[in-house]
Amino acid sequence: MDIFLQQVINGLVLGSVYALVALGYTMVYGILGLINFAHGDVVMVGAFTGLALLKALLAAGTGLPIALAGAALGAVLACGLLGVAIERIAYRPLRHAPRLAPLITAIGVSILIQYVAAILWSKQYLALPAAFTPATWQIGGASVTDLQVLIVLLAGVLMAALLWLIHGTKLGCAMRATEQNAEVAGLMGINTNRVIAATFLIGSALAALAGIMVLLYYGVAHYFMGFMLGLKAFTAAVLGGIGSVPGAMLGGLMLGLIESLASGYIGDFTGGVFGSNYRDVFAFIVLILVLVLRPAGLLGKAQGERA
Amino acid sequence: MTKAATTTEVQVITGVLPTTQRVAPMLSLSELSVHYGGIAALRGISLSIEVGEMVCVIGANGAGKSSLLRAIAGLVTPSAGHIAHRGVPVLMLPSFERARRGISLVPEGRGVFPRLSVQENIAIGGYARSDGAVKDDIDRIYALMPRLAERRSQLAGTLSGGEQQMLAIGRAMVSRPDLLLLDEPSMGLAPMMVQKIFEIIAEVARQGVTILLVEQNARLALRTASRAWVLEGGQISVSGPSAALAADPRVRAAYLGE
Repeated sequence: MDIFLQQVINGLVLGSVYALVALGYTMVYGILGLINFAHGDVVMVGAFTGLALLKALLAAGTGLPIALAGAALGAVLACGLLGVAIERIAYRPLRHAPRLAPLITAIGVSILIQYVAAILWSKQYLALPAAFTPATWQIGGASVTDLQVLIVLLAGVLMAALLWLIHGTKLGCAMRATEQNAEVAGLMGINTNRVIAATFLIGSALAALAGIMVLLYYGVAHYFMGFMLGLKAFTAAVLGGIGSVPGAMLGGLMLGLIESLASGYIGDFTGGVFGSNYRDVFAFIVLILVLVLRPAGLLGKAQGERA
Repeated sequence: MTKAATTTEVQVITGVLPTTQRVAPMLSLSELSVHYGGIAALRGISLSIEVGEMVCVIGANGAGKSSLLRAIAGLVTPSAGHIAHRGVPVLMLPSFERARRGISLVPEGRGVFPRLSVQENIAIGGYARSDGAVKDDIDRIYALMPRLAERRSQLAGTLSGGEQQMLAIGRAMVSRPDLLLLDEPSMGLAPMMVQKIFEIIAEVARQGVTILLVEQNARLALRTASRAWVLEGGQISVSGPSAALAADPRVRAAYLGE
């Protein structure tokens, strides 16, 4: 079995998920200058609502593809509403407050969502119904499942659609204008509050789909799963250059590959002292290196543009 | 744009507009005050602008000129007073609603979107319009300002200051405003470019748009506008027809450097 190819495949899958979540961080940061630390928990809510819907639909006798589509749609709606509600209730009243206030609020929202989910569902790991046994193909000594292909393809389509939305539609133009100068955007007749709400809606919808991908890939959901995933996606956004949409995509994929390859080879390099259970370390090594060596990130804007 | 508009032309045009008609004024302010914290920027400003007029407010740095325009456009909330646009109170409306009603501010420092292209900057002026004529209006702006047409795919942040000012005015025009508020359009521009910008402003006025111009360059402003107010410490100290103000010894001493 070819370890390198296998880790590249795994890294691409992981990276696709990171990229989808990183987009939510970077879009909100671009438009509000705020790190929405509750974003990882929106992913968790996506996984939980997706799981609940999936179980209900399968129990009602629905076929697997339709049950999956229904669960994805339901999770997108639930998370979209949640994202818009978070902005409206928690962040908008603090729009002109000192920066520390919304940051601490974001952490508070994150904890609130985690424990509401724990109460609503469970503090235990919830497993996927047994209906899922992905088909496996062998390619050049590595194995790839149909689920992995689906995740990477869907993430690619979503990212292409997002780029089209941002650069090819009126809403996207309004989003970019609001990001660059919200006051002047208002002078152009743009309802900037609505544009900001749309940004949260889009970011949260992507998070919902990422949550379902994680659920299907690992087979479990847990109320705390958004924490580590959120930190890693945030790292990916910083790696690509926070505020940059293509940066979040690139950063997500790179982080997935780095993590996957590093955890695949760490045993060989350290003579078995460290194993792949140290995989979470690499994201934060990357975060520290980026912050020290290139704080603006790979595709980031020059520093100092925003106060 | 092709032929230079002289000031006499402008005055003839504004002179024939039916300013005595019984219609609500384009803009009326009464007892408008703006405070920042405890500091008063405007203290009880009352003035009225008729439809089709081109008027100006002159004053020194910090006299409250920008605050006046920002209050009218909805970017600052006045501490007291009233603002009516065509007889309709607009004080409670957010800035984007006022923009949609036809009040368009070209802000100090132009406020172009630096990382949008020239084309996107101009097109966004028509954001709130749903009629099909936006494209025609954009073409008209390009015809009036060929320099922008040449640079349409460039990012706006790469334009010179004068080109950015043109872009800001062109962008405002695409929203089809009935009241155009111009905040220091000559600021930081070379004399040649200032002349060009004021030719464009005169052309916009000729198309029937009511213009309230705020300028530190009092000589230029008084030459362009038909009526003027002098703002001093947040209050109106002198007002009247531009010609009268230009002849007023106090104004001449304080603002025309004589």
